Amino acid sequence: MATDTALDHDIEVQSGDAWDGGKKPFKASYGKLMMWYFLLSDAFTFSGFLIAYGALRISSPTWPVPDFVFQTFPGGITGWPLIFVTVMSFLLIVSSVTMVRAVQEGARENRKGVVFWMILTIIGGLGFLGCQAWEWTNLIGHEHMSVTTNPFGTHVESGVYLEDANGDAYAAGATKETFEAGESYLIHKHNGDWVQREYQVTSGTDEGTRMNQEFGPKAFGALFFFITGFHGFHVFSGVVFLIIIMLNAASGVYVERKNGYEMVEKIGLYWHFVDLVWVFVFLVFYLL
Amino acid sequence: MTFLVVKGLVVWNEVMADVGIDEEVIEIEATGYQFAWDIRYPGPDNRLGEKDYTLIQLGINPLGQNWEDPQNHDDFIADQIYLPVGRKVRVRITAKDVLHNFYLPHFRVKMDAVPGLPSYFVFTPTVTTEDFRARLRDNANWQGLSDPEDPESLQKWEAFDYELACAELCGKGHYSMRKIVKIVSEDEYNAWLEQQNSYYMSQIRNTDNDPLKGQFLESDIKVNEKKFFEEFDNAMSSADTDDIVLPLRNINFETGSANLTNNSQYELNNLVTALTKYKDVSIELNGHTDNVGDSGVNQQLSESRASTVLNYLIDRGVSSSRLSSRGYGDRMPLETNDTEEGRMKNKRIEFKIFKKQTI
Amino acid sequence: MAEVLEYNEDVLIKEQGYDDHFHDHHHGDKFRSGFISHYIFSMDHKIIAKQFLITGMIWAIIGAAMSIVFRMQLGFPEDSMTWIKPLLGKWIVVENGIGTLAPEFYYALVTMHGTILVFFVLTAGLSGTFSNLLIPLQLGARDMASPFMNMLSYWFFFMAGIVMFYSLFISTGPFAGGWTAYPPLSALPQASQGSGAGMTLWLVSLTLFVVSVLLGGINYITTVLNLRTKGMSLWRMPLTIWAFFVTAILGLLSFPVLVSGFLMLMCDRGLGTSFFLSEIFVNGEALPNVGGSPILYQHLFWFLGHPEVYIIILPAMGLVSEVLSVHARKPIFGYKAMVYSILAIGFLSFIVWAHHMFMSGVNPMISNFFVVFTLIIAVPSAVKVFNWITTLYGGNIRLNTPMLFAIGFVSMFISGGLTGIFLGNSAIDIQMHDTYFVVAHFHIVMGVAAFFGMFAGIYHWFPKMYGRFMNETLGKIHFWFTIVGAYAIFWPMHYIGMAGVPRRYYSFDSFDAFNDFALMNKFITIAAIIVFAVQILFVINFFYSIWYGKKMKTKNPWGATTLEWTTDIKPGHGNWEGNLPTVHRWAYDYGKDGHDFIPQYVPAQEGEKDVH
Ligand code: HEM
Ligand SMILES: [Cu+2]
Ligand SMILES: [Cu+2]
Repeated sequence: MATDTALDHDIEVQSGDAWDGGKKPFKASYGKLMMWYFLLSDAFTFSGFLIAYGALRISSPTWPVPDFVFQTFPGGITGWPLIFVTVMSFLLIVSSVTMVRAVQEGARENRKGVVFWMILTIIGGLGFLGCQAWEWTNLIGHEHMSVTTNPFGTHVESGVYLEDANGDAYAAGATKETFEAGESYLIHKHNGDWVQREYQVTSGTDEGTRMNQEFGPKAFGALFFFITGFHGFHVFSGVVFLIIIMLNAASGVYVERKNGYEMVEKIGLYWHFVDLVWVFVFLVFYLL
Repeated sequence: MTFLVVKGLVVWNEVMADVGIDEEVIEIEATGYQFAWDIRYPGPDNRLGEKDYTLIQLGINPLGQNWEDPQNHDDFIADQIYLPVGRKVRVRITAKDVLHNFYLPHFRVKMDAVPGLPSYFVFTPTVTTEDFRARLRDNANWQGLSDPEDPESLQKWEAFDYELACAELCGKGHYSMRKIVKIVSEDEYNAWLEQQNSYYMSQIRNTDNDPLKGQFLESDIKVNEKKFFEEFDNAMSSADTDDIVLPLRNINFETGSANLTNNSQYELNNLVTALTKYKDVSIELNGHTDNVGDSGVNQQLSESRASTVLNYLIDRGVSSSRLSSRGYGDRMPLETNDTEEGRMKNKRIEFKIFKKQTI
Repeated sequence: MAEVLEYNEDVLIKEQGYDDHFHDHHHGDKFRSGFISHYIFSMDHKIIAKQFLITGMIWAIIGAAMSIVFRMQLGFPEDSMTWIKPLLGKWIVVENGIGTLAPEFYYALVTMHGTILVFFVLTAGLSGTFSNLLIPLQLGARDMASPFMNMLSYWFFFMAGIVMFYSLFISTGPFAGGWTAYPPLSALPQASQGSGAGMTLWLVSLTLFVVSVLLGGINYITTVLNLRTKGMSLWRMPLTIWAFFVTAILGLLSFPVLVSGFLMLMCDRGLGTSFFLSEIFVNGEALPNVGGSPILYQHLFWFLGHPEVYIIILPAMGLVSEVLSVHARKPIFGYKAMVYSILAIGFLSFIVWAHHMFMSGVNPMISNFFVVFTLIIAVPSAVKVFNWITTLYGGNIRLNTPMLFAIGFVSMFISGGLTGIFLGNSAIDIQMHDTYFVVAHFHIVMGVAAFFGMFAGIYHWFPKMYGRFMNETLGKIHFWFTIVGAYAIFWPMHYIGMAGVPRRYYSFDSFDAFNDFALMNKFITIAAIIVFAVQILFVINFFYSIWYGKKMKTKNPWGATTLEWTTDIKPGHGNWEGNLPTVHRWAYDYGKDGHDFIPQYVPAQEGEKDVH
């Protein structure tokens, strides 16, 4: 009976729901969606790391105090807890803001604006990477932390040192350094040898015993370099892509594209993600 | 279905529950390594001593026991798992190199052995090996020679043994980590325990691998103390009114000098205690040497050694009026001076209790 | 009233179709291709599907052949294996004229068999093939969202395969620590030969593989969400697509966690870190590593590992649902329930991973939760089984090869699901863990069942792929031998396992407790050899049919409702010549209102009720 012509088009009511097919749900292009999915899966990779971090940290008897570990500032300054990392984080967050501006300019099809704000973003990213490079150099070169050795230990009892920072007995009459339970220390190298200073415990059940500084949990160094390194690698890749896209934008490739400056949007998503991950990394390593 | 889940969980939690603090259990330790198990028993103190993997030395300290922990001194390593029937057993499960799994197929026991992270399993054997064999006697599958090549060999059911295996892939020899498990009566178990020698005492004590070499163990000190007071109390309570000479055992001096070694303090302290207990006793300390070397020198040495001891006692608060000392040189040997053994016995400090004065 | 619904397909699609301006603008660029780019670096999803399938088949043969070799050792430990020495060289140790497999190599083979079958065959070969083939075709899309990424996905898989293949030939042998690669064994070359270079290659290969899965998965998800043709609402998608969709999501979320575990493992191996290592004395030396946890790796691994088994089985479930419905000429029973079950299984599969770790030394308290979640999974699984059986019930069944395999799948899934319920009960798992019972469980429920789904899919969609049919007689022989053989192999393993015989044992000689099953082991080995031979028959049938199979004369030989059967017999890149078909109904209008079937693109009829 029914042939094509007899079929009534209007019986089939297209509800207009985004999930009906032939439309883009979320009003997002597939390129942007793909970026979202990639970021989602990347987020799971980072979760894997952060869960490992949590598990290993909980199973360690002590953990270095961040305020103590991250207190150096370029120019030989120490005793500025978390100032440097704040600068770093600030750079990255500002670069996220400039990225937002670049995307906005993209939506307005303003080529110059896009390029300008992207360059600022790239500078922010490079600045962050530079800071991270310095922080790593300082930790590795000066404080001798590595993936296998963690010279940042933590006292579990209060006590008083019996040796000075070079490992020599105190000169007569010198005031001996004391410390409280929960304070972290850094085992220095003196003439190429580790100096694990001797101290006497003045609290708790071990009161009176003499001990030497012990190295901190190995997992700290490994996790720190591993996770910040993995994040840094993301920032680095991001900067590379930012540069490529910025050059493309500058040369006018996107002017002709049907979807205009969508590439800028996509890298923008990525960049915000990297920023977001940093917030978590910052949280677990520097604040907790 | 729900019933199965709930029932399953109840059983699981019962089976996996650890032992209570005061519960009476036999605790043994199984350590997996490529490719065998070591079984450690706690010895008479029922406590497994400390371990540290950095102390492991193949053939010398296979488990890395810390010999400075006295709980290790009576631990022994058994070549079979031997357990009494009907007693709760807690197995502490550890591994040296990679993951293993402590698997007793006949007992439904299975638990991973993880390096650096001890686990445990609690179970109660209910049937002795003998009883189990008897049950198999009439089972058709268990007839025939256990070793078909050897006509003299036992019947299969007679040769039956419980076994320990590994159930976590651990390398190329994973399939060969067998150990025999024997479940026996309480009496047999105790008899077996009697025969076991502490690993430390039989293999390590006073060898170069012993960090306590030359030092007294707490157990030694207790034994010596007991012996000392037995002799001393005997001497005091005996009706005999003659002066009595007792040896001061375990007193040593550095060679050729009158300086006491560290180990000597225990016996001397015993003496101090005894003298505090028997307030009226006076003693004379006598030094003796062997006949090696010049006898004049020996005489002097014996005198100064005796007086060193005397000074020690005075330092510990014994009134000097109750003490005197004398050297005999090599004049009064206990045994022949021709053997090393004899000479060792002749070098000695004794003390004489003046009984008459006391009474 | 068996009135046949008449319509003119071409006209319908042309007139009502959805014009995506395929031929008007530059979109067409990516669909133009030369020879090399057509067959080798193709971006056409249909070609990529074939690439995945054939590569998967090659791997299946390699992997299965390995299992035959180690089964020979288990079944016939006394018989000489010298005949295979020319191939295996030093891995056959000859003593007194009798050649036996070296234990190291036995374990290497077991490990490779597992890795290859789980990842290369049942993940890439199954989901890679059919997601690629069917997602665009059944949704009415020209191709994947990103054909380029799709191509990369295949080539990453290919490279992963090359690296793994290479590892088979290095002098220390391939990795030999089990497909789960638990450290410390996998981290310490001192502990096992295979943990040296073999393990490095294994890690590299699997990392490449994960990249492939992620590239594919992102593509599948995006295509499903964004490229459905007009009218193809989510609730009108065939169950195949739902299955692929959820599979891709599972992969996207679980594989990255595995990668994080792998990266840490690489650091432990190469940089001396202690993520998974602690207090180890190996090979006469105490290692400096302290503070790590081997169990952490197991958590990361099984967080992937369990979803992974559903990554394998869900596509098979989707294919089977479709095949059952088409060949029973009945709508699938409880379509929505099926979809919700897939979603429920997908979700639950993320929170049950620790049922693989009941006996691993984790706190027994934690296991309680995992027992409950694990056994809850049985509910959606049971729903699916019930719906399949109900779909069959009273159907006008065509017992052809795809249908047989689909029914075989249901049978296998039921058997394996039942044993899963045993294992999920932690108290019973104490006895069953790491025994042949587990081996039987997962081979039946995952191995054989997924293969059956795959075979059903291949026999069913072969005409779509190659324009010809596979030989039915050979197909039926293939089916009957395989199903009987598979039960012959795995049924006895349940008994062996219940008797407590552990898996991964090179020899049972030294244990009285495990030594009683020589006869059964022989039987299993013989059955395995027969089943293997029959699979070769399938491969022959497959390649023979590509060139000489019966030609397909009509577009829709099975009378299916779905869109893939509306394209030309051999569709070009872009799938539909003109407009894309518009969809007006769900995919399961079989036997409705007296019509044998109503394709999805046919608009609702006057007075028609229940248009889904
Ligand atoms: C009712 C559903 C199921 C339940 C309750 C269940 C439960 C379990 C449990 C508890 C184990 C661990 C056994 C052990 O190692 O001691 C296991 C192993 C396994 N299951 Fe299932 N399972 C189910 C369905 C499935 C399905 C559908 C698949 C695959 C498609 C699957 C694949 C596997 C695999 C591959 C292993 C072994 C992994 C290994 O150790 O190598 N299971 N299952
Ligand atoms: Cu093992
Ligand atoms: Cu699972």
